[in-house]
Amino acid sequence: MSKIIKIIIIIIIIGAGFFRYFYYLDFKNSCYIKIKPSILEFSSQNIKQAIKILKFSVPNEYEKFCGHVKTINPNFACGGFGGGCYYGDNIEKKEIDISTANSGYLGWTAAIIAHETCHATQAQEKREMNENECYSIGNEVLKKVINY
Amino acid sequence: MKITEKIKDKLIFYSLIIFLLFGIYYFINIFAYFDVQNLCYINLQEDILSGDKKTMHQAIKLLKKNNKEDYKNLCRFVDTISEKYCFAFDPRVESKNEDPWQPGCFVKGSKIIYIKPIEETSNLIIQKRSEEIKKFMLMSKNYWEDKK
Repeated sequence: MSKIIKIIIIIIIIGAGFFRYFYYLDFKNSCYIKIKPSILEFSSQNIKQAIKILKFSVPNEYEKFCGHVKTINPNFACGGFGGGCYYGDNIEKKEIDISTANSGYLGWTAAIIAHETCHATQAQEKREMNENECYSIGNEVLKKVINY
Repeated sequence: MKITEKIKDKLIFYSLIIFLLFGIYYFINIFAYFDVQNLCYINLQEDILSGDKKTMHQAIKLLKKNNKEDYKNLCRFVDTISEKYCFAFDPRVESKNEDPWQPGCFVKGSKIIYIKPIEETSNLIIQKRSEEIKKFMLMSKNYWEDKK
């Protein structure tokens, strides 16, 4: 009996760790995002905090993000360190790359997520990739989330 | 003889526990600000190249000494103080007569405040940092109280 309890506790701990590091779950808004593992980023907490910032402070961008993105890849991509990237080679995957380093500045991470979500939206709506539109969205996010 | 030995063993055991607890307390205070008495824990993120965690620590202590209410609010509305500049707007999108890199900010939707990295140590710097922390703490307080 005690062996079964031990196994259940171990499964719960591993499961909780798995969801803490590799998933962003918001049941109320049906927003489920997978965050791929990354050695360089080590922790996905910066990305998860930035998503929450969008949720609380820029709800329209949060809604777009939940609707157009399913996976975040925090590994080094074409945006370089501290940047983001959208390849658009497989629209169905709904994947964006965000490599902002885990101790980075949160306002910037939130802006990058909104910028790459903008590209994912353009691709899914079969529109042309337009950097200016996405720069404007990133800028709006920065202005809305920062108090100085 | 046996009783005195038992008491001696217990004394050694409890002394070790107290020693361990003090060790943990001082270890936590290397990376963060931890005040057991007021149950206040604030994560401190230092800029390794041009910052100083010690003056962040001393600035919090000064705030505590000067105003208990501000200190209470700091413990409640701030969970991380980070030494970083804040990118406030994207100059590719809009041109302003100010630097996009601001020396500190509060990011809405989080309990993180950013302050300017400063390497120097002096009473004036500690005083300035304490004022800066208070300024951004009040922004966080106002934000979260408005959200209620």
